[in-house]
Amino acid sequence: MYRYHQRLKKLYHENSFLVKPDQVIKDRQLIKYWRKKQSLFSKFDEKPIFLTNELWYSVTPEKIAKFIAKFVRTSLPNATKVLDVFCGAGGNTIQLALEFEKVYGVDLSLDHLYCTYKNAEAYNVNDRIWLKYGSWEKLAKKGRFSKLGIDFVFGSPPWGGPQYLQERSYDLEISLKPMGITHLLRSMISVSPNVMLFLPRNSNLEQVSRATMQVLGSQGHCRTVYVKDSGFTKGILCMWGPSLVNAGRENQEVFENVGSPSPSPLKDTVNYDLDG
Amino acid sequence: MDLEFVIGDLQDLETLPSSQSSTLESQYQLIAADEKLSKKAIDRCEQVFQLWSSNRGVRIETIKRFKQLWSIIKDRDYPLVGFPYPNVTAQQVDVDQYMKHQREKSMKNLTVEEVEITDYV
Repeated sequence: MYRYHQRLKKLYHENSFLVKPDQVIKDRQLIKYWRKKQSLFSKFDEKPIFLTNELWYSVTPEKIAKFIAKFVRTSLPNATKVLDVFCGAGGNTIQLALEFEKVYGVDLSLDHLYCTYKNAEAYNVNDRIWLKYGSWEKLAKKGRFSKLGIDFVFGSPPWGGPQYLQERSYDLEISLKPMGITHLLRSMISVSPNVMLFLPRNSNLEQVSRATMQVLGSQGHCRTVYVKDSGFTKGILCMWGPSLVNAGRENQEVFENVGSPSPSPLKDTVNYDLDG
Repeated sequence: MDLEFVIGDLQDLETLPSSQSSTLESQYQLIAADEKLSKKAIDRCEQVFQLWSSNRGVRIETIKRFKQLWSIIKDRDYPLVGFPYPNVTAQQVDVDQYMKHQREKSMKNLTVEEVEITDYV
């Protein structure tokens, strides 16, 4: 515990991971993310924003995080407490905190939790978030969040970097970290019946179907929404729980049924901008 | 039933109507037990899956048959992206359109008019 405290103290003292406007980007793979940094956090030019190298790749673009938060708010009008189990840079945590009274965030990295908190300060929602350092798998097994009256659980688990698109079909049991989709869904359902995962756009839906059956039985149902921005599919939202599954059914002009969504295009025609 | 015929006509829902789909499993087992037929069946499966993936030019019932044939021969599922499952609803949404719709919806209780007061008075 002392070690973690010392580490946090050091991060604060050194203002670690602050993204400076005149920063020289040494990692060439980060350049395309740097150029679109405003789409990750709209406050980039107004307030200090903090990102590790890994978080540049993994943070959910703000527009998508905002959509998720607003959709959940509309679907669960009485919800007050939500949980983000892989908070990363805080992209989703922050947008959820703009909609809900209290947001719990979990991450296995102290560096990430530090970034989440610092970024939450930039958006003035730091008073609404409560962050927990630890492995989600272990915390769920111990039932750490199951008695808090959490109304909704969200997860954007690590996809494994931009390489996920090299597979035609993303294996949700092997490639998803820290655990496969069945185990992950089971752990999240133990906290709340309303669960949502943000997953790669080429995810294997058969595995989604199978996980749903295994965790929720024959009555379980998953609603999968392919999320598009400027014509490009950025990822899919898989959601469980009647309030989420049935929400917005009357808005067919907004949520278009795709009995058979377009397959992932071949990798060299994909828009790699801000993958996942 | 001639197994070569089964492989060749699995896609033909007139010759092998959907009502017979559930009876085909035993034929698939026999195909799986024969090395030469298995290879032919796998090639056929891959052609059909490719057709599905490129332009959805295959009926769902047909795909189900080939997926079942594949899984019996290979002892695992074929990860066919975009194949509908009964307990999964698939939709797509454009985030800009959604946000615009939400904004318009939130203002639906508002009537906006203008009046020239001299005309009114």
